[in-house]
Amino acid sequence: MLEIRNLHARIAEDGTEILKGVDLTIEAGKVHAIMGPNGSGKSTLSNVLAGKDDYEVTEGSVLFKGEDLLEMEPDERAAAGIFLAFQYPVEIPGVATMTFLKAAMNAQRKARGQNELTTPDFMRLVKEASGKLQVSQEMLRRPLNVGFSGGEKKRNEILQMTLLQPSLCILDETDSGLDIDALRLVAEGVNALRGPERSMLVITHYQRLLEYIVPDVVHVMSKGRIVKTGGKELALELEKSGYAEFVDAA
Amino acid sequence: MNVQVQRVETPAELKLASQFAERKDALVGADTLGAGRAAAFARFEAVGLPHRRVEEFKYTDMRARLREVADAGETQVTLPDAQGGVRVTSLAEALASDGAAIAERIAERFTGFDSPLLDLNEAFASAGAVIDIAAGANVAEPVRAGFAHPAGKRGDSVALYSVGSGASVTLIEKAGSADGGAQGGHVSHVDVADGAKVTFIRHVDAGAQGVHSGGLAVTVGANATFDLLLVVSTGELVRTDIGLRFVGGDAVANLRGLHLAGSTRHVDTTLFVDHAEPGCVSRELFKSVLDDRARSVFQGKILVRQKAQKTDGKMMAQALMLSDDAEADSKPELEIYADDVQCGHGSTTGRVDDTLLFYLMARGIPKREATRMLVSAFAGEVFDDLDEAVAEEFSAVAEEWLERHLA
Ligand SMILES: Nc1ncnc2c1ncn2[C@@H]1O[C@H](COP(=O)(O)OP(=O)(O)O)[C@@H](O)[C@H]1O
Ligand SMILES: [Mg+2]
Repeated sequence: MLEIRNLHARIAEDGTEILKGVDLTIEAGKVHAIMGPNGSGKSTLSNVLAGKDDYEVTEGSVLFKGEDLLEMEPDERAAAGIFLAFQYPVEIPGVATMTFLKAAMNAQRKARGQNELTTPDFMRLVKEASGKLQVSQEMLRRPLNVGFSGGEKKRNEILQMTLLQPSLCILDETDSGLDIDALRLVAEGVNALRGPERSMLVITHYQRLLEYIVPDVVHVMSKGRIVKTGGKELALELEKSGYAEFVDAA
Repeated sequence: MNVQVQRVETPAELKLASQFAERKDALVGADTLGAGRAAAFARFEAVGLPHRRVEEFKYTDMRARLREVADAGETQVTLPDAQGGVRVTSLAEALASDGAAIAERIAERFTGFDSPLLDLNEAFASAGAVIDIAAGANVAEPVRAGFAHPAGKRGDSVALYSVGSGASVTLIEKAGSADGGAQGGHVSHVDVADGAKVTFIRHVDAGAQGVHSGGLAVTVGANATFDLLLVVSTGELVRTDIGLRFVGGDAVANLRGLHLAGSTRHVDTTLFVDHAEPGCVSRELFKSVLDDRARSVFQGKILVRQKAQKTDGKMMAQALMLSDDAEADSKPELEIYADDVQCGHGSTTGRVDDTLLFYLMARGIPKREATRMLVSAFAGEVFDDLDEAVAEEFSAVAEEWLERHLA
């Protein structure tokens, strides 16, 4: 599904290198977790995968379903099946949530050569998905994320993920700012999407989320590189010993 | 106005003077309007076309920009359809039946600042409409009038609106000529009586080469509400002078405008709000979306007179640039003589926000469409609170403009 080789990326504006040779392979149907201290480059990696042009890739390659991901525009990546649930979802005044959802779904369908959704079909899909995530009709009527609480924003990200049915879901600290009930809801939403054709990259600072979304593989990221890889027990180890070992070692 | 008296001297000014001399006796209503027209032209002649050293024209040098004056032509007025509570007469009819009263209404134009351009309009306007809304009328359909200036020629029009007490109505006017190259102006006087509720929309569609200098003179009575939307979607040079005075207390004015300009267009709206009575609320929100080398100017002044306690006045100008070469100027001014007031102003200029653009693109929306969504969202704020059908009609104008301007 995803093959990252020796990926180096720097901040376009000032040239600071953030990713310093990331290697990561995710097979179809697998859930990988990346843990690591703040500032280690987790969000940068997810943004580079989604195509944010604040960053310049200086070395390395990323293949997604065998295609060169780095050559694609962000919208092409999304249509190809990449979805990033943002750590900090933005507020967009003046763009109604429903209008946005429909535009996104139809843009992706169009890029894949499918027909646009009819309004009744669209409404039905949104109703189903939003009900499960407890995203209210009232929220859907508001401008995108405007006035949403932190938890509502995160649920809205998972709602989008559910509607867009991506093949690689990248969750960047989706657990931050969630209380335990919201965390369960979000985890259920994510787990419902697990399947043999869908992979996930779950970025988190805490082990807690991984009790609900159980990963196949856990990586530790520090100072722009993956410094350790193991099974789900690695997350528990980290919970006990903390990141100090890696911060010093890297 | 801080300008020395000067003679009319540029070729454009001289041509206007000779046009006035030739036409004044033949213009409709010469017997009743003649004196007022002569006085208006004399005011114009005393200063000529305003140039950038005239404070109100600092950003819009009419003398430099209006080098050639077109020959006079016929303005086409489209009168509103008949409906209950609305009385419509053409200017010519109204002058024939009620000349003295009409002359008085025209002479009473309130803008709060000298405008040689509106004086010119007054001197030449020979087409127009008189639209009166009966007291207490709840007018169902929007009242629509059109003032199309002649392509390649010069034309001036005037509309007199009065809205009786307690009436509620939406007035929509289209000014200018999309056929191109027209010069001229359209000036409306709107008298809003106590307790009336008026939505007033002007769409200036002056065509690619059009020069339009329009005006809006509004008085708002006690407890009345006046909502304005000014949309300028085309015109090489469009200047709109707006004056609004509260003549009764506890009234509300929401004044909104949208300048859409590309190429080398220049759109200037200059506004004066006179809080002459206590307890009134005024909100000004003027937005511009600018492409290429276009320039937008918004000048707004709020005057709060000594007796106008509990005034609440806020003014905001926002520009969104689609190109590096566009320019937006805003000059807000507050002049406050009362002590218990809340007034403020602000302005912003920016480009489409990259972070928001990335978010939309990361969901699969292509750049052009994502940009369109964000620009529409920016512009769309001026349509908030309008009746849904009317909001749709004018957001379609903005969408159509955007379709043409997004790369
Ligand atoms: N666009 C940016 N501009 C400036 N600094 C950045 C930018 N993106 C990331 N950084 C810096 O790069 C480092 C890694 O950030 P980030 O990827 O957000 O870490 P993490 O998500 O692991 O906490 C931090 O020091 C952060 O301040
Ligand atoms: Mg982060």
